Amino acid sequence: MDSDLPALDVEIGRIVVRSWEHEWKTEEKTSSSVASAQRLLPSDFTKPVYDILERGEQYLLRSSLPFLPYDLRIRRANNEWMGFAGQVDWLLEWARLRLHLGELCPGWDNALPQPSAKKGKYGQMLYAPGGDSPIIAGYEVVWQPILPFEGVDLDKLLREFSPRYKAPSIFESIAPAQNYKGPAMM
Amino acid sequence: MVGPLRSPLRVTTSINFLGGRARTMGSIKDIVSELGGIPHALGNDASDPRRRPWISTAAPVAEQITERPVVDSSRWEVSDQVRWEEQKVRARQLVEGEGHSSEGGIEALAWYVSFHHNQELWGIYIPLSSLALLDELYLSQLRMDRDQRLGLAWSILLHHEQTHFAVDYACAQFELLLRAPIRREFSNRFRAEPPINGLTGFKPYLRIEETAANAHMLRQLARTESKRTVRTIENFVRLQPPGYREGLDAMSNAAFAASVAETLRSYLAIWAMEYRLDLGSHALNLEWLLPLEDKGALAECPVYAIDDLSQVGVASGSLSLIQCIAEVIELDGFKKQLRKQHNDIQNDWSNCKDRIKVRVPAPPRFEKLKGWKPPTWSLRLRDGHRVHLQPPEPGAGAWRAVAIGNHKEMGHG
Repeated sequence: MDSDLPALDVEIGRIVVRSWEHEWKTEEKTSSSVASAQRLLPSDFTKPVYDILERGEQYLLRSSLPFLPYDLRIRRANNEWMGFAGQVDWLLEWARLRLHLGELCPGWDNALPQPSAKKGKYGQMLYAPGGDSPIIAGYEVVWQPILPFEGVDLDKLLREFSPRYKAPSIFESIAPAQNYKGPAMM
Repeated sequence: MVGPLRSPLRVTTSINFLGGRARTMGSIKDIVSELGGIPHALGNDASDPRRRPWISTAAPVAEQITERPVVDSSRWEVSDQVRWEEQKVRARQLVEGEGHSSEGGIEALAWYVSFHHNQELWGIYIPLSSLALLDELYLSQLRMDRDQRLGLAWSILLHHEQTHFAVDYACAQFELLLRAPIRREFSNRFRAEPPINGLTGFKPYLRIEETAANAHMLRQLARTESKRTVRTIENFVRLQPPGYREGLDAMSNAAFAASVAETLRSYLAIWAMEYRLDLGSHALNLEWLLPLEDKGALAECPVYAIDDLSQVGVASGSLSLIQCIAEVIELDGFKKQLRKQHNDIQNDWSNCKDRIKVRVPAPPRFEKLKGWKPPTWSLRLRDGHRVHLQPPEPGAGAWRAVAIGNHKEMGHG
């Protein structure tokens, strides 16, 4: 089953949703999906914001696949995943996160809880972002890699099932650290 | 007739009786043969697939079943009440557990052994004790007699496990396409050490596959069972561990297709990276790769009934699975009545005797008569005529034909 294809680098991570509303209600900084993020403001009012978040989430889901049994996701490294996400659309959504909340949801400041800051149970301050804040100040959908700054050699994950796997020779099996032809990334 | 079970008992649907639908899939034998040429695609699991993981006794006999069986519990007897009660408690704990192992949920009652892992004894395994446990714990409130409930239990377990076979089959298709050992690499990942640091959140089984399996089971039974029965099965699903219970949310066409697609994406993820496949597209109809609506394909999957009743405190022979009636003795009274029947009825009975050698028809064409002693079964012939049959005594092999006549003559009203 030898393959001439070089081993790809992949990224392993998770999709994380950051929402000030979720943090305000639960004191947890993130949730695992837009759907599971707790809402504080009426959903009709914040719909334009959540539409952007949901589209961003869809791009990330589209360009990554489940990585079991670790409850993580996997995608190609070196921005190769953007081809699947639709690079232009993705960048457009990313740009939209710079829009001001008040632009997208008129009357934003009036809809906020009063006071617009409160102390959390561990003494930390929780803030509701004002209408002149960019969306990204209060909300974000991001890919959170479990190993920042570097990809993982796919052969590392495929183990002996890799098409490039070479069984250790009788001599190598004494110290079987390097069984792969490809470059060791980890 | 099967019962008490003596040798491996296998239940598959005979392809000869499917009618109409052309078989579209390659045979598993061919697939296994091809997979043999892909390094690591096939392995041999040393564990005995007949042994229920949570009962530590020797493997009981299993018999292959070739048709949907009719269940007969007329000889039901609990031989060890304490043990039976213990087993019910244990089964409930596992079925409703928090999903810490791959042996909870429905898999505590029945299981599928992949042809990737065992080429000799692969298939679906359903212990007879599981039919009784499922009935006693979750179905006993239904307004139907015990045999019907046990038949329903069989269907619940079979539909769920058939989904696992269908997923296995779909994986094999990708394996043949890519020449890659997808299924075994995936299974091995659940047992192997994490290949890199930082991998956390280990889940012991593929939750989304259990969602799809329970959703398929509910969708199938919703076609044939009453609303009250389906609600009872939904309550059973609601009590199961994470993944299983979400089957309730995946009953719509769209949600079911999504659960199937996510299941296959989970198996294929690493290989999609390796071979630069685009599996993320929502326009891709991965659901069609599962042969769940192809009866011929499903018939390729062997189904084994395990005779383990004595292991759970129930007398051996308490439950019988009737698939076919290989031998019928016509009693003198019957012969006399038969001679009085019209030629068409006599011919129909003659043909029917041949048909039931292969399989008995589904109820109500073949059904046990309520309250009749000795136990008597009614087999429907043409023009409202029936034959009454009595099952063999323990140790005997032949059924007895005791009466033949029309609906009224036979005391059916």
